[in-house]
Amino acid sequence: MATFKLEIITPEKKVYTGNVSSVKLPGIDGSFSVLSLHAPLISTLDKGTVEVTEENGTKKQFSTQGGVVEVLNNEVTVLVEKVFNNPNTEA
Amino acid sequence: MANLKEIRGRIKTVQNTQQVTKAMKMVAAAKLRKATDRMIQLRPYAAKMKNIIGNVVSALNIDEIPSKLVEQRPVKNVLLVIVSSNRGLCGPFNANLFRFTNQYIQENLSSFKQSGNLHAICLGKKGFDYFSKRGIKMVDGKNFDVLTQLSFERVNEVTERIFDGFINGEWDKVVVMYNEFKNVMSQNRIAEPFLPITIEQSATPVKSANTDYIFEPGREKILVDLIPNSLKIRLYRSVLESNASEQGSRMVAMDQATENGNALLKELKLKYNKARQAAITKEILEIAGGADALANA
Repeated sequence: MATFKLEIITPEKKVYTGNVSSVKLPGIDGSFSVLSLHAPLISTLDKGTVEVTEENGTKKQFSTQGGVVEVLNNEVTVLVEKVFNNPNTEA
Repeated sequence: MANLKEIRGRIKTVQNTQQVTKAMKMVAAAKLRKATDRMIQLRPYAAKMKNIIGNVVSALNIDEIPSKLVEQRPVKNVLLVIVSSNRGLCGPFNANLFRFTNQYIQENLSSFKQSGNLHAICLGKKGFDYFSKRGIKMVDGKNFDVLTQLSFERVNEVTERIFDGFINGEWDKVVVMYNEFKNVMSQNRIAEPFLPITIEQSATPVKSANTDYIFEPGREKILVDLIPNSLKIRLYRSVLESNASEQGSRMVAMDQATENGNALLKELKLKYNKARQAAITKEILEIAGGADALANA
């Protein structure tokens, strides 16, 4: 499955960076998923769960405070104020 | 010899003090590394945020931004956010900032100070102690304690308070005073206008902005959400800069103290040896004198 680069960044550290096949985001007008080769997008995010599906199919969940996401050139950058849980917990 | 003992005592004292200053220097060095680390960690987030805002803003006019935080009003009340330190023994770090702030007040805000319309939020005990005695109204009359457990969240509480005050009309202009970290040896003192925000400040439109973004849920809405966010980062960064400066300044001050101790020790040791030698000479003279007296008898 086609993959793209995902970064989840908070002001205090880089929480996640890696190649993923899809990511589900808590958009302010409802949650949506981003797959590889998504069109350029900027959207604000609500408080909620970011669900990452990695290359090998493992899923990871991050519960986050609100933020913003940018999709550009097959790179997704999620900026959130805070990530609450341990990023290694599997969903 | 009483004199000898006295000098020995003083040497001991200086050595003990040096141990303390050395230890403080080491601690400051470790904290400095942590502080600069935090600054580096913040960088990718701040850069990206600036970029995104730049993209969103590129086609907008400032008048079209429906955010209260960009509102330019006639200035009646001014808020100063003064970032100092909780603890002393950090060289001229606080004193310099206070002098700079006083000068700034005198040059730009003296009328507000006289009419009692000058407010302040002090991050750091030292600043609070200093300015609360000098005719500046402290917001909530208390000290916002963000420095003991520094985190983005805690700084945000302060930022929220500043926003609330601005929106409710408690103040019409906000300026942040802090030490910017240049390098370990030197700091720049900065008076940074914080509110009302101008767009040129928060983001310069990006050249790559001709990419056709999909905006969810629309440019204005995004911007209204992002402006507070970018301000939070700005204050957080100021606090981090100040924190790093404080540790750097303390490290240098303690290093100097240790050096001064060395100079003092050298002097004392010389004195000690001289006194010791004098005592020995005197004793020999006495013995020789005694022997002479015996031989002559």
